[in-house]
Amino acid sequence: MTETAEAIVVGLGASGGIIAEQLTKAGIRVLALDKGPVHTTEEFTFKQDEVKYYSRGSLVPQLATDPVTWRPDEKSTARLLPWAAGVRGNSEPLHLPPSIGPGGGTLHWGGASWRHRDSDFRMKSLIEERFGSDALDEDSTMVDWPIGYEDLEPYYDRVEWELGVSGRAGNIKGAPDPEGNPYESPRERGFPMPPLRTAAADDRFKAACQRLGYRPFQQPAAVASTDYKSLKGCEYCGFCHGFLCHVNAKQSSRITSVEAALQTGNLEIRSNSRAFRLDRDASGRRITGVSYFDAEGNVHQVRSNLVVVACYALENSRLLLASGINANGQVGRNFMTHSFGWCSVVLPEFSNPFMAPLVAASVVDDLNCDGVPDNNEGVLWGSVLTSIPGDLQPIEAAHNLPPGMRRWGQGFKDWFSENYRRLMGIHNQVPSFPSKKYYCDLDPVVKDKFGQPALRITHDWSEHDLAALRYFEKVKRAIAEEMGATQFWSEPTPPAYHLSTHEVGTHRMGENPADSVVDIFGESHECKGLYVVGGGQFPTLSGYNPTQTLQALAYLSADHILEKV
Amino acid sequence: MPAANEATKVRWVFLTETEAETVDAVCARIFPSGDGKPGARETKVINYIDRTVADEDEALRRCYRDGVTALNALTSELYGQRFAELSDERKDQVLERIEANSAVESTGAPQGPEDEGLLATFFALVWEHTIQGMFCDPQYGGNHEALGWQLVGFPGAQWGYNAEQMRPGFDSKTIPIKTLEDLRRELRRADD
Repeated sequence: MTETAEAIVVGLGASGGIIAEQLTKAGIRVLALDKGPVHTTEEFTFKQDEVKYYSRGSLVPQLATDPVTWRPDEKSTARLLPWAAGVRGNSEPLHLPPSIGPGGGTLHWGGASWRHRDSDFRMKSLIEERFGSDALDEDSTMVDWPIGYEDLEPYYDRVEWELGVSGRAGNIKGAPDPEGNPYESPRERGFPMPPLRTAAADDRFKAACQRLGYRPFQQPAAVASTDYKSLKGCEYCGFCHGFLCHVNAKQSSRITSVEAALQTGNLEIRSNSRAFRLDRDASGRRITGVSYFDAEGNVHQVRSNLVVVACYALENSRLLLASGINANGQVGRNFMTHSFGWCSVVLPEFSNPFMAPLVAASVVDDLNCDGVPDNNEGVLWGSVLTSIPGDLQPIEAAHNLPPGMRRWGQGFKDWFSENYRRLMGIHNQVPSFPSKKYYCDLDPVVKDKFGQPALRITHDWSEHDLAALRYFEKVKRAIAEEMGATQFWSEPTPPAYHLSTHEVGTHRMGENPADSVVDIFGESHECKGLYVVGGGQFPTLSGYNPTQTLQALAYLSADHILEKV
Repeated sequence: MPAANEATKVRWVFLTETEAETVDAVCARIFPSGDGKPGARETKVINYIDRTVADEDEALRRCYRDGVTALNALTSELYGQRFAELSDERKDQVLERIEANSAVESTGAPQGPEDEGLLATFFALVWEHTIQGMFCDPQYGGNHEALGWQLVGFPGAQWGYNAEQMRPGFDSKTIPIKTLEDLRRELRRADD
């Protein structure tokens, strides 16, 4: 007899955790399927292990079990992600899809927690108003969002207060506070926790930025600065981004939403359970359940007329395509990601970059979004610019050395033992624009061990990405010089990778069922009762990190689902 | 050079004596010793590699097996000696050629492009594992007595840092280094 569930949530990450919590608190019995394992208390407690979490990427899906292919354009043959494939030792574990298991991407994330600015929701209109209607190339598929900042403000507030975000507000109901972000759109109230203590090199960064006329402020962080609800105050161990948190200071759906949902008694979690098909009725217009493989590869089918698919922009679109839910051909289109601009500096005094979370840092937001100054370099949209004074262990540090320096021998040993303790980073991230040229579909050849087709990514860095990377490189170099850095260098541009764990857009939300995949509540236009949620809904990517916005969207979806049931 | 005596023989889980000798010689050119500070030898990187490769998949194990063979074939061709027998200067020259991916072209040795790629991949892999073996938690067999962490001033596995330690210019070498085993011991003691 086929099993039936009141609701099924696939993936218990940032979005799925929130929706599972809201549904179970309203009395709905939820069955959650997650393809990853439940991470044990032992793993959380003793996570100070760079080999396990950085070198071996133990939290993230590996290509051997979760193949993903990539090609720069349609003329090329897609290969397993070349920046992560091959014998171990040549891989970039953080340029694979994000962590799996209850907690999802919020297991490994750094905790940069941003509201989008008002302008982010109107990127297309603002670019065309300012730079002309031909500023975006003919392949552009950019659209404005179907909702605005004011629609999401109450949900951003819920993320900050229900889950826990630390920071200093810059604009409460229009009243500016120079200690906070001078560019943030108005908020109803401040943060529930004060900002974190910053890592050592941040003072120097902040002072240099102020001398250059910027208005630095502290990064809002999904890391608790004090005990708050289920979170404990951060202890600044420095094993943060890419690691589990041993004090539960880092906001992870594993310890916030999922734990709260479990306490209702209405949540059942099946880990190591891999959804492979979304089942529909004969008309194809209504969801009827989910088919999945258990750890041994046995097929199970669970019936439900409410299914929430929340397993990341990439796997969400793969699952839709593999299930044949793509009548308008829009699934997988509009792939977007960030090109990271990582720069490193060597400082004259000890910066001890291994202390504190990644986000115990300052931000320059003067050049973000439509705030990017007029320029002759073709930069249409800006980027957040952040100090990275902490969270750098030695193995990771050895992977980012000054170009031209021999990476071995006495000179390398001298340099590394002298300078590891003096490093810091400066970072920005350029949002790619949606284009007809960049999309995901099913790989025609590569399959996983269950015979399911791999996702194929077609993407390359655009002229605009390169122009923006060059522009911000100069800005970061000037800041480094003002800081008195003794060395400054950038990672190779453009990046070799095409995954940043900030992938969005592949199941775009919109009001018109002809040119979008889901509505603003995440419900499929094509198949009723099926919600496909997360960053995949984004019409455009911001210069800010995507997580808080997709968390806000998850609260919005949950409210809508509960109104209907 | 670790001598091929009984004591070392029982130490290797995966590597043969020749493989251990060769790989160890490569590691020792990546993080050399002899300046009074710990290098790959003192931190026992070769132990880390042996244990790691033993647990690895066939592709990676083959890369070590075939890489060592190809490296010694190359140095035999060039100098009539195994890699480990060369002077440090010659070892560095060989590694530089491999890194420049030009070893085959310049020697004209009868090797196909696979061998060329193999040596470059092999060296890249040994480099990765040397970095890991220098700075891993000692539970993995490398970073012996946390000497790698000591070298660079990394205090290792800490529960956290206080405001004083987080001030610019603080000398992190004043913080006692901890390993995961130290953390486990602390918790066990707290439980008692």
